[in-house]
Order: sequence, then structure tokens, then C-alpha cells
Amino acid sequence: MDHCGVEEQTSLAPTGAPGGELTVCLVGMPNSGKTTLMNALTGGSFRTGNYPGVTVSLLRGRSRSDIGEVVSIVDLPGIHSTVASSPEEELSAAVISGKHHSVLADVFVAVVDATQLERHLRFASYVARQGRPMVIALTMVDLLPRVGQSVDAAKLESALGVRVVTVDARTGQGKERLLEAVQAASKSVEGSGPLAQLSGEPAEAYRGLQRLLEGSAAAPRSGSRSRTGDPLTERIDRILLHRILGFPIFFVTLVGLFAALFWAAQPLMDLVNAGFTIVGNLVLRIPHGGMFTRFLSEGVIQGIGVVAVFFPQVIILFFLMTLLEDSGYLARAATLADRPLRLLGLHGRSFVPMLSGFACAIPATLAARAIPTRRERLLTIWILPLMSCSARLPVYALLLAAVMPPDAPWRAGLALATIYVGSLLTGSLVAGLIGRFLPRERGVSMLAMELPLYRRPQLKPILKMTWARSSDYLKKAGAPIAIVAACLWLLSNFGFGAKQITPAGAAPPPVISPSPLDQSFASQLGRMMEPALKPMGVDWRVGVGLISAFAAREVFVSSLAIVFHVAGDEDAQSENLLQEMRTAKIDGVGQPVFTTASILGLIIFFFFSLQCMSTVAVARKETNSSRFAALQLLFYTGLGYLASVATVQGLRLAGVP
Amino acid sequence: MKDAINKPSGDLDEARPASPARRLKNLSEVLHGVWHQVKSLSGPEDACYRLLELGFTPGAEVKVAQAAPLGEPLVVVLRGTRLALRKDEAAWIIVE
Repeated sequence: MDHCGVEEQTSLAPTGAPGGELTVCLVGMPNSGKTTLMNALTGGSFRTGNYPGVTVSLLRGRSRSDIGEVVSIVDLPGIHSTVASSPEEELSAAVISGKHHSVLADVFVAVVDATQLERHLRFASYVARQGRPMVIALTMVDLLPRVGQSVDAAKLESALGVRVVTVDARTGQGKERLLEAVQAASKSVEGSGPLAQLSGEPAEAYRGLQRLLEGSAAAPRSGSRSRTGDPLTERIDRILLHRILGFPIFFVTLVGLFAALFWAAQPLMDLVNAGFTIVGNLVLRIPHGGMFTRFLSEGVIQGIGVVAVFFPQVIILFFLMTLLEDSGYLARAATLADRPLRLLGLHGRSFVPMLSGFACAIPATLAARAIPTRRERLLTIWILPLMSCSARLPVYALLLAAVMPPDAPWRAGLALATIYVGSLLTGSLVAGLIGRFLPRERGVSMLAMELPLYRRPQLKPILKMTWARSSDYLKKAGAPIAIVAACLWLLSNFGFGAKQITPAGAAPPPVISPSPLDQSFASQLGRMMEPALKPMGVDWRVGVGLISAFAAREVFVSSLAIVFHVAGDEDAQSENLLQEMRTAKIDGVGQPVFTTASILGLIIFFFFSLQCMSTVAVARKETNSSRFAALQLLFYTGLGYLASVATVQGLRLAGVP
Repeated sequence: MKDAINKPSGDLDEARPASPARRLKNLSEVLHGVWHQVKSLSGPEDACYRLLELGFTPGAEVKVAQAAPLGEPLVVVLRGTRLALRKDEAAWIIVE
């Protein structure tokens, strides 16, 4: 099976298709089914969805060898207008007009939604005018009966003077014929057909297209030609965008999404937990392993395991988001959100980056490219770190479990829902405040967003995409977690030997050797931070966790596992982290580390703090400004610290331990 | 490409004296669920070009299906496509 890798590229290496392969560029208006088609052609699965503008950068892959001659395929972001307004539109426009510095298409495949023939063909005419070989891939044909239309591909082909192939992007039906047509188009010298001769002026072009379609009877319809629409979608919209019901349904959907995270994930999480415990114990039994098997078992395996427990939740989150996207509801949600978001200086299109931000700020920051004006884009990127990303989920889950009684899981669920809603509200507040300092922009901010037809989501493509997103997340998160966990274990198990207390500083040369935790490097590092940690009500061990969390927030959990695990005696090794946390005392004081106040303080810290170096890096790249990224990092981490200290001290004043 | 815009104000001025103003409305104030015909566009130049590209060309049939909660965006049906338009945007579209 020739599964070809698909890489996401933001800055492209020169085209140089291997072995003289054809470079085929998929172009089309947003939501035409391009990326789904790309999926079918390459066999690789990546981001696609029933929401306009999900392709955030060029996706590149190679077609599967079992469906025809291999071609190299580039999926361009969907564009509305030939006058580009957002960066992704500029990118696509540059490739189509042949002005892009590195992508040169041999053949264009214009993906045309059959239910919106006029609009999509007008766009295709813009591609045709460039004079490059092209093929039209007609998608969404299965939806035609619903809108009372039909399209005759053969008649359309002769009317337009361009090859037309019907494909079902979701099942991949017709992809072989599409590739044949691509090969044929690349070899033939194309005259400029009627499609290419359409005017560049939109009104003229639409008139010309109507004449072409009517003259050829390629798209006969029942009823009035231009008054088509899908009655089913109209009925559903009447409910989902209802004056009174609209927002309640919106909120119930979001609450349901997060509730499912907890109910559905629990048994899976128990399973993962059990698995890692078994493996860890097996490794410990390896004879004569000594320090090394302990390192493997406690450092690496347990370190990863503590975080892996939360992967089921992450996967379920991705699954549900993909489901919403695929059904068409996500575009409605963005519509509902436009008015409130606009009050904050954001855009309806900020909604999807914000929602993605609940999974991971990195794809969310990239998704902000679909926002048309720079001001709204910057503001969206600024507040994305506040959205409660999935890396925070393990941290919150642990801290909430530590502070909530175990007999009432719904209370933890409710608290988590509060955190999520709170992060949205705080994001709004910050956007509203920061927006005042950003200069106004010339040019108009427009919504003009397409609402796709509702479709029954299909399980297989959704599962494929869920897997693509989850495995991407695991790959991204897995390595740093393992590395940090391993380093941390070493730091907390080694130190400069036994404590040397010599009167006049004539210390013998320090020797690195296995040391108990309270004399380890980790403890020394943590103790240096102690003055800053004290107001937060925690000790150096939590400090070690907080520092390591800058690699990725969820590392906090595995770090805690390591620093608390090794702190316990042999018997305690079998106990879980929660047990350890309940009994942990601040050295010398005897006061518990994890009190209601200090746990809430930690939650508040994670709520605000920008503890993710990858996000900082992506924000710098996307905004093209180091100042923006540095300011963002300082702003949120400082805010997190201050808010945390205020919470802990405030609660203590109020008598909460 | 921008000079290709069909000048909106010209259309309007021609239309006004001929037919009384009561027949011309902008899309943000029309009755929902009723089909109208686009007469012209009147708004910022780049916005009008974008609306033209979306298919709001003179003669195109358009209907406001409903308004979202809070009164906007409006759900507009045009050439088989459903679009969410803000009220400002709809107000740039003069219909009959």
C-alpha cells in the first residue's frame, strides 16, 4: 500500500516534484470539498471540514499509486475573491496567477460544488483565464436532488470547453477518472474555451455563465432557475439560528461537548492507567537493572503514563469538534458568534480559531489566517492562549480531583465547565480591553460567510480525521513530555552528593552522584524559586513542575508524579499521585502543600499563564513580530502569577486553608 | 481589476426618478422570505466588488431567509448559496 506522506507547509521548498511528476493544484472556493478530495487522492488524511476556510496553509501530498499515474498534489486555501483580502487568499491568488515564488502548477483542478454551480464556475473561469491546463472536479453531486437540481457533466464539459469529472470527495468515487483527465489535460494543448472567454468583470461573467448553462441544458432544474435552495437546510436553520432558541442550543451543544469529554473518557482513562502501571512494574522486575530500570520505570514510563491517561479525552474532543465541523453546524456557530465577537473587536471567523484553541493554540493560531483584517487577526491571536487548551486538561483534571470529593464526579465536571466558560469570558474581556489600544484600520471588515448545506456526518471520514488530528497532537506532545520527564527524573535523583557543611566555604569539589530528592539538583533549582512560590502557597516541588511545564503544560502532571513519587518510600511507589498529593507537606513547616487555596491558586495560574513555548514560536511567525510574541508571553505569565497570588492570599484571609 | 466595478451610484440615480423610491429598498430592511431582485450596490468600493463576486449582480434574485438571534447576521439565499451577511453589508445591496 503506497500511503504517501502529506506534509503541511507554510513556506514551501521549490516545487521540484520528484521524478518529473506533474504538479496538480487543487483550487476552489471555501467549502467546495477540496481538502476532502485531497484526502481521497492521497490516501493521507488531514484537516478537512464542513466549515469555510479550514485549509490554513498549503497541503502537499502525492497521489496513491493504485489509482493511476502518481502526481504531486498541492491543496490551496479556498478563496472567495480574486481580490485577495486575507493572507491565505493572497497565497492562493499568487499560485493561480503563476506569480508564486515556488509553486508552479502543471494542471489546475478547479473543485466546483455542483449545488452552487454559477458561483463556483465563475471562480473556475478566473482559473481558466490563466491559460494553464485545467480540469473541473464536480463535487457534492449527491446533494443535487435536495436542492432540486441536476447537472449533466458531459453537456457541461462541451459547454465550457473544459474537462469535467464528477467525483464524490467523501467516498473517493471518480478519483481514477479525475487523475486520467489530469494526465490528458497536461498533454493536450488547450484552446481557450468558452469558460476562459468569460469576462473578468463579475456581473458580466455571471450573465455569460447563465447563457452558457441555459444554452447547453447542462444544468436543468425544477422550478425557478435562480430561486433554488435546500428546504431541509432552511428548516434546520430556522431552529438552530432561531431568535430565541439559537443561543440556548449553541450553549447546550458546547456544554454537551465538554460533558461527553468526562463521561465517555473515564473507562478508557482507567484502562490506560492500568496499562502503564503494569508495564512500569514489569520493567522494575528486570534483574540487576539498578538505577537504570528505575529510570526507565519511574522516569520515562510513569512520566509518559501520567499524561497518556488524558489522551482519551483529547481524542474525544477532536472527534466531537470534527463532527460539528462536518455536519455544518460550525459555520452556524460562527454566525451566531459574529455579533458578540464584533463588539469585542473580533470577527465571526474568530470563533473557529477560538474553538480550536480549546484543543491546541498552535493550529488555532494558524487558523486565524482566515480572518480578513489584520487588526482582527492580531487580536484573535492575542487572546488564543487564554482558551483552555487540551494540554491544560490533564492539569485541571488532576488539580480538580485533588480538591473535589471523589464521590461526586459531576462537581468536577461543573468546575471544569466553569473554567472553560471562564476562559472564554476572560478572552472576551482581554480582547475588549486590548482592542482599545490597537489602531483602527482602513478598509472594511466583512463577514459574508457561506453557510454550507447540512450533511449527515459520515463516520469513516470523521474517524480518519480524528485520528489524523490526535496522532499529530500525540507526536507533537509525546516527545517533549518524554524528554522532560527523563531529564527531570535525572535532576531529581542526582545531586552533588551528600550535604557538605563546612564552616568557611572550603567545600570539597562537588561530585555528581545519586542523591535523595531533598539534596538533588531539582530541589536546589526549586528552592531558588521558593521566595516567588511562597505567596502561591506551594513549595519547591511544585515550582519544578511549573518550570518544566513551559515545555508543554501537561508536563506539569508528569513532573509532579516524578518529584512526589521519588519523595515517597518504597511502599508509596504503588500509590498513585493523588494519594501522594493529599499527604505532601511543606518541608520544615508541616503544612500541607495542596490545600484548597493553593490548588485553586494553581488552577488560576494555569488559567492565564502562557506556558507553551511552541505557541510563542507560532505566534511570532504568524504575526511576524517578536515584540508581539514576547509581550504576549510576559503579559499572560505575569497575569497568571499575580492572579494566583491574589487568589491564595485572598482565600487565606477569608479563612480558607 | 477594480475599475471593472459597475458604478453603483450611477444605477441608483437612474433608478430613482423613474420609479418612486418606495419600490427600492436595501436588503437589510426587506421582508424575510420574499424574493427580491438586486438593482445595484452602494457602499465602499472594495466591499461592493466582493459582493459582486459573491453573486450580488444586478438582476440576481435574492431572499433574506431569516435573521440570526440579536438581529444579525442575516441569512441570505442567492444563487443556491446561503450566506451570512451583517446588516451593514446587506444595506449596501439595493433591491427591488
